[in-house]
Amino acid sequence: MTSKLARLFAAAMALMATGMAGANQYNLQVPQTIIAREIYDLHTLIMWIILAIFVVVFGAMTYSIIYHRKAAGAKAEQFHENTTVEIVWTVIPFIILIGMAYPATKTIISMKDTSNPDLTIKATGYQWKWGYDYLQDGISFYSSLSTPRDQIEGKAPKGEHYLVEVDNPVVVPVGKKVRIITTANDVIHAWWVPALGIKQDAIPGFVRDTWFKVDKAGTYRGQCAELCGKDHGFMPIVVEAVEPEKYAAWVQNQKVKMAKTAVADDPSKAWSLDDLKARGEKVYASNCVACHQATGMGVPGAFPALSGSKIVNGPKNEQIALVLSGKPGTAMQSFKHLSDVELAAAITYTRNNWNNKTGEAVTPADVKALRK
Amino acid sequence: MEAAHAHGHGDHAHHPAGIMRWIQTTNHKDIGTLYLWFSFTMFIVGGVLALMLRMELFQPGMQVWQPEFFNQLTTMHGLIMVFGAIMPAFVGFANWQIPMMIGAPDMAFARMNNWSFWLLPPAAILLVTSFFVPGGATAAGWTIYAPLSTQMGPGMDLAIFALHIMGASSIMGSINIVTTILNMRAPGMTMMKMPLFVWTWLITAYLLIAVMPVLAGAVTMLLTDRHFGTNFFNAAGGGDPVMFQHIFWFFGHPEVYIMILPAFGIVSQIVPTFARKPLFGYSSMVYATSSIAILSFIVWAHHMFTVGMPAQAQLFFMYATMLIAVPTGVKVFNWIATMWKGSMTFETPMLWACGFIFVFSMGGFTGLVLAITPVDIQLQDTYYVVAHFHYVLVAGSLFAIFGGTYYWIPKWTGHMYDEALGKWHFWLSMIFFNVTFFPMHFSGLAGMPRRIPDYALQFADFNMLSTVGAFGFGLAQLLFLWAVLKCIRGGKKATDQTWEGAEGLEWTLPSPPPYHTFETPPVVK
Amino acid sequence: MKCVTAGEAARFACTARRNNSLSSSGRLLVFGFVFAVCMGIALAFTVLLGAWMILPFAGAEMLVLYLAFHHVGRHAADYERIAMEGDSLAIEVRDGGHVRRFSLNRQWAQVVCAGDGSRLALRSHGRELEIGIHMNGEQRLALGSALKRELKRELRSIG
Repeated sequence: MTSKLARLFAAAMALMATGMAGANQYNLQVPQTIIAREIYDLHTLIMWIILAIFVVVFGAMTYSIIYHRKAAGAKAEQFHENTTVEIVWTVIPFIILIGMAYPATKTIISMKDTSNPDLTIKATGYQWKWGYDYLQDGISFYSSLSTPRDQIEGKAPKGEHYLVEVDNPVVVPVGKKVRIITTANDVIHAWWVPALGIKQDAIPGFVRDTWFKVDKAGTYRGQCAELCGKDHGFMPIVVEAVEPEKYAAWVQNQKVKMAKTAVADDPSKAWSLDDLKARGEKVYASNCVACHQATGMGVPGAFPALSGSKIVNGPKNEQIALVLSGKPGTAMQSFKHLSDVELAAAITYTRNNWNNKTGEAVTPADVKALRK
Repeated sequence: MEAAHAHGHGDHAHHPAGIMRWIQTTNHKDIGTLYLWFSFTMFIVGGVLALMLRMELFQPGMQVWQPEFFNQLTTMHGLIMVFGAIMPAFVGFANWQIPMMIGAPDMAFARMNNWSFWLLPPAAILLVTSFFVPGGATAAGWTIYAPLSTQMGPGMDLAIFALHIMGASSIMGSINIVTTILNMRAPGMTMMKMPLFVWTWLITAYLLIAVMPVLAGAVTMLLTDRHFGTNFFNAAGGGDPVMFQHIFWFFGHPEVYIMILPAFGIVSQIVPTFARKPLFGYSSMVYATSSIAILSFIVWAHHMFTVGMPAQAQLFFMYATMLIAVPTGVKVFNWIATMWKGSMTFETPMLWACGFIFVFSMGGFTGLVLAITPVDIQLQDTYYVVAHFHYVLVAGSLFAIFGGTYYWIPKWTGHMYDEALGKWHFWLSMIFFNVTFFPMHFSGLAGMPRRIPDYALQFADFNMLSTVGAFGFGLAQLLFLWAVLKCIRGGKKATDQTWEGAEGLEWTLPSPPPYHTFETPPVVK
Repeated sequence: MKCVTAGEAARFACTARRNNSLSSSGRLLVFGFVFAVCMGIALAFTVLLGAWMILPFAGAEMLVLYLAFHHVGRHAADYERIAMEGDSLAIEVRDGGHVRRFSLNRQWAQVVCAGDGSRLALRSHGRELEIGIHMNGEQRLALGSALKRELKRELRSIG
């Protein structure tokens, strides 16, 4: 009898799960790791317990409301305590809680076990994008929102993965234990991919870790989960889990790409003003534009304008120093994680664009000289 | 029509009239009224901010506001509702009711009572005007986590000063309440005879006294980090951003109970009245309230399970948090046992109390879900949490405030409120509250982070529904204003007893009670 | 309030004390408890996390609490004693630390009593002395009428 009921129930659940497989609107996302599955099951278990308590408690309340009303002729009794009943309803919840705590404890312990990873990736939160460093493979890249501005502003129809798509996804092999180390450059962010069952704050100056092992290939999407300023809602995380062979190929590909960039960004080559401006425009677009805006006008009151700015039109070393060290107490963080070429290009771009016409190129060597 | 003149309190011979009466007043009833109107004003301000942010969330894409302004809206909505609306409302109730309920002529320190109220309007002005300073109001969330809060403009400083002022006000108010309750009870009013509302406020006042210095210290450290080069929370200078969260939530969790315990008290007054039956398990209610208060000091880190604590710490805070379900459950069971075999009628206060028990319990259930660390890690900082705390704060605290208002307003004004208006207010609020917040459970489960101005397409339906519900809920509150104004201006004369089943010293007083004293010598059985 | 009308000889005495439901040891206990909790929290934050800025706020709060309780303690023994002594109406008021004594000629003394019992005073030579501050309205009305009766009887016996 019970097994028949259980089967029926399992079938119903399966039906519901398939019905919602695409975009699950009513429940946790379809779990893709052991931990995520344990979380999913824990949640389901607790929901059933809660539902049972709900039915009992509010059944009693509803019964009372229907039958113990003055209009129904009820006379009030005057009892006001009953030690037995009071002990019972203190002890029973306690026992239920122990029943819930036991599986939860097991999951916590396995969640925390980040030992012996096959692969370690450092995720760094920036305002407002993620940087990834594959510690074994030596790959580094930034990953930012790829949804076009027009879609956000309603000038173009929104795509399927609106706001949860990035230019460079994190690629990981399936079936391998991946350890994620999180930290941040400016404020606290949180690295969260629901289907993988992990959420870990990324804290400036500190390192935390977590892990996952993806069962099957696919693209899993998440978002920054800790308020981190203006574009908190616009720094998604996309994890692409692929077969190990494809992963190896991707690693090779990334290495080649990095080598190409290294050649293109060779700090020792002679950079012309136009080269720097062209390179700088790209750096500006991915690092500076969120606050200072494409127009260079900033956001009055919140983020200063660069166009016409005293600092940008002043001595170049001061501007370089500011960009390298950031301005304490403001959203202007240190950008020393960018390369000499990138910084030189971006600074040159700001000094020779909009109303700024210094006509002066900042070279990678200038930046290098000011690095501590 | 003549009733319109009858709302004046007693004789006006010995106190100034007009505005000066309200500025100089040391009368607990006047100050209670001031607190309640202040709180309602802030409730409207905070509510408008909420509707403004729901407007942006009506559909995906950025339509109305810029993201940074959206963050200001969420932050100020939280700060204003917590510190401006909910807390002062309960202090208003305390001022009106505690002296009447324990048979005292007034509060223990009448002058200090005046100061603690008049600190609030300047604090509110600081908060509201911070929208107009360069950079706007603080946008770091009501939790003002460092180091995001160190990035903010001068709006943050104004918010810090406002918190300081409101903290000072709360401390003075709490000391006043503790002294009043302990020292000014009428002869025969022993501790275990005090009405439960008085008990819950006594415990709340202790909590306030214990945690307010922690908040003051936390925001001061933020201030010195921002302006005076200290490095409490600045990692680059050797500080620890997570320390801010520990300090904040050490204040913040008891604060959560500060906002719910007096609500428990109000409901514990209303339910026995309309069930015409004494409160079931009075002493277990007192013990349950005390245990909740004590537990509130050892659960703070459940707000920060994702910062990456050691497993042992996560386990400790999970177990402690789950324990809170026991005394909270006892309270709910006691309320239902009070209804059981009573002779119930459902006037507006009772509707709110039943609504409170029903919907607050749902918030309690989701609280249990969130207590389970692994599940919390999945749900932290999502709309599930938003749903959870609105179920306990709106359906909990706010519903109790409405219930308490309808319950005692005949005593305060001497007139019965309009029952039909009150019922409309209840049912509309109840329905629209659930339309607004129930879908948020689903968006949270499905993975929508909180505090985002724009969202992925899969969350669109529920957000649209929430926005519709929010506007309905907001408009329904105008009915409350109407009902209250109507009741102040006139209405059926309220008897001293007002409610058939009401017990307690306040019901032995005339409605409205005389301005100055406890007129009839209190008789405590 | 304790009033005695001692026989027909018309010796009238009335003492009204403040109502204190918290004893002085209770006060000490409450203060000790709150002090231990608040300072314990502040010290724990200072020692364990270096968040010493909580300490001054906790200290300031304890100072306010101390002043409040001190005020309560100082006024715990407040009383008012009104007695007919020979030709005069003697009033003794203890307010905090000091005791004030007034003596009114009973032939000049007048009772001023608000109808709702919100205020009771004695008037003599154009000056008013408020009495019954530790009483509730009904008790004030009772004292007021008792005093009026006593004063009238004196006048009648003289007349």
